[in-house]
This record gives sequence, C-alpha cells and structure tokens, in this order.
Amino acid sequence: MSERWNRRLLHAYPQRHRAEYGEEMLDVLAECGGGPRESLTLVLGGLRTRLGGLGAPYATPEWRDALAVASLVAPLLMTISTVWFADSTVRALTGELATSPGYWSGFAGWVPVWASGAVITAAAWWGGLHGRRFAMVALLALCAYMFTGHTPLTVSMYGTIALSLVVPVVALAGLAFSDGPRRGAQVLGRRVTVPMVTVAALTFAAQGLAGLQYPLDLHLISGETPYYEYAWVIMLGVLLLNGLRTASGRRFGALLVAPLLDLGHLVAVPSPRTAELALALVLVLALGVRSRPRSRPAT
Amino acid sequence: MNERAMQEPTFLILTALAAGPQHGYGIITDAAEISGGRVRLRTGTLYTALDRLRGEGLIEVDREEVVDTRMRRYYRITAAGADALAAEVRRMRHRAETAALRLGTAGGPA
Repeated sequence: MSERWNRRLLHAYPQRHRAEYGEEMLDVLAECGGGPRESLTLVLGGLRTRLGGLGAPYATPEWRDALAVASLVAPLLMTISTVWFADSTVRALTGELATSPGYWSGFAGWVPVWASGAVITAAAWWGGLHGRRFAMVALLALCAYMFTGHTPLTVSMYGTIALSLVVPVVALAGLAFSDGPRRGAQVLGRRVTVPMVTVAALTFAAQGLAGLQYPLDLHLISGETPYYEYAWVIMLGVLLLNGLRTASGRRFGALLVAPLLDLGHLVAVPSPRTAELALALVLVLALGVRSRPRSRPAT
Repeated sequence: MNERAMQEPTFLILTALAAGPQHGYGIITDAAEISGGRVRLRTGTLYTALDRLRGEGLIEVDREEVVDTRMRRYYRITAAGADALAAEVRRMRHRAETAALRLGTAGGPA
C-alpha cells in the first residue's frame, strides 16, 4: 500500500491523534508492508478513537457519581407512579374515583409501565449485581414496550409517550454507567436523602388532591402542571440546591434537569420553542462538563 | 475493588516495554515473539492502545530520534505501568495454579 493511501486512511483518526502519531504511524506502516488488514484496523482504530473522544468528558468519577444518584432517584420517581397506580386502581374499583366507559381498556396498557417502577427500584437496591442487571433488562423492555406503542392512548414514540420515556432512560443510563443506587445514596448523604424521601411521601399525598393524571408526563414548560409535578419540582429542587456546590451534583443536575425541560418536545413536537429548549439543554450539559480537568500527562 | 483482566494487546505492549524502551515497529515484532507468533499487533491497534496507555500514565515517551528524515519515538513503561503489569502477572499465575491444581497436574504436565 502506498504512503498516500495510508495517509488518506489516517483521516479516520481525529486531528489531535494525527498530529501526535501520524508521521510515526506512517513509518511503522511502511515497515509492516501494509495490507488490507492493516487498512481495516486503521479505519476501526480511528473510529474507536473518535467515539472514545466523544465519551471522554463523561467518563470521570464525577459523572459516575452523578449517574449513581440518577440510578437511585429516577427509579424512585418511577416508584411514585407505582404507588399512584395502586391507589388509583383501588379507588376506581371501590367507585371512589369516577371512571369513563373506556377507562379500563386505556388503563390496561399502562399497567406494565406503572407497575414496574417499584419492582425495578427494589431489584436495583436489594438485588446486588444480578438485581441491577435484572433492573436494566426490565427498563430496556419497558422502553421498547413504550417506544413501539403497545400502550393504548398513544401510537408511537412520536406521540406523548416520548415524555414518559425520559425517566426510564435516565434510570437505565444510571444503572448501566455507575456503581448503582447504593453508591448514589452514599453520595447524597442523609442530609439530602431524608428531605428527598419526605418530599416523595408528600408527592403521593398531593396526588390524592390532583386526581387522575399521567404520573410521568411533565409539562412544566408546555402546559398545565398537576399537583404532584409541583412535588416533583420540590423534590428535585432539594437535590439540586444541595448538590450544585459539588462537581457530581452539578452533573446530576444536568441529568435530571433534562426531563424537567420537557425533553420529549424536542423530539415529538418541533416548534419555535424547540431551539430554546435545545439551547437550555446544551447549557446544562456544559454546566456538567465545565470543570473537566485536562488529564493528558506531560511527555 | 473490582479488578478487570488486562486486554491482550495491553499486556503484550507492557511486557515488550518492560525489558526497555522501544519504538512502534519494535513493539510489534517483540509482541509477536512474546506471544509465540500467535498475535500480530496491527498499526491501528497499536497506536490506539499506546494513546490510551499514555493517557492512563502506564507508559511515556522515552526519547525521539530522526531516522531517514522520519521521526521515531521510543516509549518506556512507567512505575504505574510496571505495577499494573505485575498485578496482571499475579492474577494470571493464580488462575493458572488454580487450574493446574484442579486438573491434578500442579507438578506440571507429565
């Protein structure tokens, strides 16, 4: 293979990598004699380096801790919906809650979504490594179920379901890329955990006042705000105010402010506000990475 | 703490550098020899690994020389790299001894 060919293939690597190793790699390629396998590994190595570079700002201990907190809080938010679901079911069955003729058929499709919250939280907290794996598989299945629209009242992700997907996706990311909810509780400490759980309990009480609503739909910017969503804001506010002083807290803020920004509307309903929301999302993500240290050692 | 097994290219590169500083092509030929000809590191694989290992502080640049108008860079293993390699050797030895014990061949094959 000619040097010209190899030089072209080196463009698979980011500019930084080419500047650092380009000439050296050409020298080694000339000595090795090249060949199709060399060419293939050059391209694959370049892609791997580029992808690794994209993830690098997030592969820090601060992000791992932020994701650990997310792996605790996001399933807890889902558990609130489980409790709400159980309460609503009992009230509907006893006639305390007025229901429309199509109520039960619409309700049935959401049963896996609402009921799984508590199971996922319990598995992630008490199940050890196997429990976390189970929770991840359950969350994946849940997201797929919601994405493909096997729930009455919506046909696909491009309906209102996109909003409801945000919390399970954050929970999944937290479980997949961190040391889990126990580490999250350790990071938060008792000073934050106790008020958070208290507010979560109040959230449930507020739902009784709010009536039947979809518990995972946040309309903080776009529409009406049911009572329990105010409680969510208080709960997340407690976390954020306590956490913003720390590097991992700011990153956690970036993770959970995203759902509050009604992220689904970025995907589902493009509008003039989409750019505004996208800008806000970029800002919170920038907040999360702004103190990233440059870790490259001097040579 | 959960210790992950070292990837084979990493092991071969660190082992090659444990004997002294080497340049890229030298590492490739040495790695092939260490693995008994079984593994031939490709240039792309080598430099992706070298970049990562430098980032992790396991290797560093020893010196640079110009040979036939081209820059040739020599790498050396750091103290952290030597520690990581020693830990991997202990892990591999423990696994090998356990396997040999269970096979009833702790004294070596007949």
